[in-house]
Amino acid sequence: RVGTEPDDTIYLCRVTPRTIYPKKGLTTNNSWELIVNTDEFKQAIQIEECEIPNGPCEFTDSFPNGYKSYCKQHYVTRNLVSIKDEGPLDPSPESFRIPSCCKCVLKKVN
Amino acid sequence: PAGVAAFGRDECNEMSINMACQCSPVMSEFEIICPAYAENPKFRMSIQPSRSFVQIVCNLTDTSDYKQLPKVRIGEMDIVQMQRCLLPGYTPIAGILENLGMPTPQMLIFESDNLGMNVTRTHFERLHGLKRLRFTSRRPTHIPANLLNDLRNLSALELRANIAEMPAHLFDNLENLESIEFGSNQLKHLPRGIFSKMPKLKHLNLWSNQLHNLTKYDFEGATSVLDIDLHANGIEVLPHDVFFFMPNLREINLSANLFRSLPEGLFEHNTHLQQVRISNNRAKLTTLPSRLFANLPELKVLFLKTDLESLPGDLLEGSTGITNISLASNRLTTLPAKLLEYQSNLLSLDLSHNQLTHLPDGIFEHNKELKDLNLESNYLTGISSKLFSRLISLETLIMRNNRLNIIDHSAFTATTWLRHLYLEHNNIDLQQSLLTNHVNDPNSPFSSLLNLETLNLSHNSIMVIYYDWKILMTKLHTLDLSYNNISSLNFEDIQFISRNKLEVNLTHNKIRSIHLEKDLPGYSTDSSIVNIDLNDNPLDCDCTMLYFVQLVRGVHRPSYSKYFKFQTDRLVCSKPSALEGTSVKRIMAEKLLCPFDSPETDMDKRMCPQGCSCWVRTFDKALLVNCNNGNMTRVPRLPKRPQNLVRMELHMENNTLLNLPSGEMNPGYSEVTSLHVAGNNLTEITTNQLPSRLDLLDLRRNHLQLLNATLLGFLNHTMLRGSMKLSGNPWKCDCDAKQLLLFTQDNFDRIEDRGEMMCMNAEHPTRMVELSTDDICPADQGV
Repeated sequence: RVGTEPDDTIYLCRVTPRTIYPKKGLTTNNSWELIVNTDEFKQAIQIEECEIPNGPCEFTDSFPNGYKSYCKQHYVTRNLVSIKDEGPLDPSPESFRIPSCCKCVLKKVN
Repeated sequence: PAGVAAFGRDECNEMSINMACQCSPVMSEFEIICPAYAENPKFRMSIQPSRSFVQIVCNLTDTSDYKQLPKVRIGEMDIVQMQRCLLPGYTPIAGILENLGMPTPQMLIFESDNLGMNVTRTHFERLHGLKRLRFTSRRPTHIPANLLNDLRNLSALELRANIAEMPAHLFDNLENLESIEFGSNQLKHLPRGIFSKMPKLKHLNLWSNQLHNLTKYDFEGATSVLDIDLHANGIEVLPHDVFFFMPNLREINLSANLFRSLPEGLFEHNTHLQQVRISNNRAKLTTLPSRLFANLPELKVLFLKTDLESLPGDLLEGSTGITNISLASNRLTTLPAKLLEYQSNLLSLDLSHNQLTHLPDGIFEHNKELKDLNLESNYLTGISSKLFSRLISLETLIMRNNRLNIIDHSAFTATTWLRHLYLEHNNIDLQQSLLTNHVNDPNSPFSSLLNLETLNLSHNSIMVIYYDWKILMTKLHTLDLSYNNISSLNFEDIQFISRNKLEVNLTHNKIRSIHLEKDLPGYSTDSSIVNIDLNDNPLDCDCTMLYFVQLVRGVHRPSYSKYFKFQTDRLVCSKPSALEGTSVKRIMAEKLLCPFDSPETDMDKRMCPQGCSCWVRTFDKALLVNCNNGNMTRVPRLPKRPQNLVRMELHMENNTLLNLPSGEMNPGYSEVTSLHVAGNNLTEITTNQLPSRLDLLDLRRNHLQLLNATLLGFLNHTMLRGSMKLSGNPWKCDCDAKQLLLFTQDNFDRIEDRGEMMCMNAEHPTRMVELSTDDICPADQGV
């Protein structure tokens, strides 16, 4: 989802949507790799991050007793052309973990 | 006209050439970032022409940064949302919008925790057309009384900025206001007299404030208000007449407050009430006053969740329009018999997660329209014949997680439209009906539910698949019998005639045996394919499982198999020990054995010889007599082969047999078809010692020197390919053995171990295959 729904739709978590051109990223294998992003070859990604990760959600004053709400960052996997830190400098696709959206979740606290 | 954007793909491309800002189309939107390619751009704009919506997200250090806004004409937009933006100094917000070519939006959303200054009337100048304003900030914000003086057309106002004091004159010009959203501020009281200035006000949201001490005078003049939300205000006490000036109220939300009691007559003047919500009360409100919701003819929906322990019987008296009641998650132990007496229009009742131990028989007597009844997670122990006897419209009944044990046989005779019945996690065994009516009535208490689609009985103690589930419920789609006590299945148990793609879950039962028919030629049904999950059962993989195992393995396809699909991926044998843990899909059919004598047979009547074990193998209808390693010097008296078996295998390997019996002496022996006597002390065999129907003979490792011509003739006629083993004997290869040698040469495919047969009479033992008749019996010595 990009941007905010107009008018009547209000989300429980505030987010910061951005378009980024990452030069480095964390792969799904938990390693940092260089992502190809030059003037000629651009890889843009739209991301959405929680404005305050793990911060309280809004509009949640009447959830049941014993529940805490908070805004949780969610991720998706996306393929980007990247270069391995070691070995030959051949650009190849690799899957990266990308912040996709921010959801209000409930946690039982007692 | 509003909503028609001047901004489009061409303008977007042009902007990127110009390079001050960067524009990219994203699906049906345009995203503008200024300055172009900045790591932390000052502005990020999303233009969504299809929604007539523009979002401007700021990242400003100073109001002078507004000069870096793109030079574009976006065109009229209905809704403008500005996030994290500074208030633009002493210029109106309208100035910014005019520079972007969209001077007159209908809705302005200004959300920022970084306002930079106090908000003033100037900021909302020239926005005369504005109908809806949302202004929110997490910083405590002072609201000047004249803030909205220029917004005479405002119909919806949302101010959320930790506001402690709402000035009374703020509302002086807002005679068109229909909706107030002041939720989540710090208001301790409402300014007096404001409502008489807003004759069109319908919606009043005051949740999450600190309005502890409300009185009726706070709402004087609010006669047009239709709904009020006062949840989470820390209210402990309400005066009984607090809603006196709001005779048109339709909805009230009093949730998340601190009530310990509510006054009688609280809604007395609100005869148009349609919905009341009092849930998640933060204090203990264990009961409600008499007649609290009585005589409210328009009342439809009630949500009550406040740790209620009891209810007065007249709570709902005369309120005949109620359609939905949720009393879930209270502490109710029972209900008054007359509670629902007037609710002839009730459609849905939720009593889940209470502590109900008992419901009066007549409680639902007047609710003939009830469709959904949820009694989940209570302590109910039974269903009487009367409880549901008037619920002729009931479609879904949820009673999972109770202590149900006794279900009256006529409990469901009236609820013939029931489609979904959830009874999992109870103590239901249906034994009671089994005992009383076992012979005459193979039906369960659900047999009148011919429209049932879901019957969930998992986690109970059911032992039988009842007739009505198979033969009467033609619409059944889900039958969950997992985690019950079903101990065996036969073909009759699975003959479901449902036409609704039935899924039967029989996992985690105690199924030890599954007996299917070899075939039922001509079997046909107009049911759809029935899917049966049999996983996680403690199968005893004996000979009775033959047809099931063969069907699962795909080796045997009886004509009825096309009507069934069995799930067996995790179905393994738990018995016998030799097959324990083996997946049913991998069992070789010849491993499926049953003991010949039943374990109960007393010693004298056992037919299996002492020191031997006897088995029936259904795969080839064989009787197996196993007397291996028994130190036996002679073949014991063998049982007669039962008529339903066609083969008989005798295993006497590694004993000390000196000779074989004749059939006359041992009638059982004469029926042996497969004789395994390797590893004995046999020195000679005569024809009358071999059973006449023998087709397999293992004579390895004995003391045989010769087989005579008569015997070879017999073997020639009876033995099959590869059915003879003769190695390990001290064959004496002289002229007498000429016939034997010729026999081995002529019958190389019958004698499996022909290559290993050795002649032991020469100085050096020689392989028989290497010798010719001339070698063992030179012509001059010829007979």
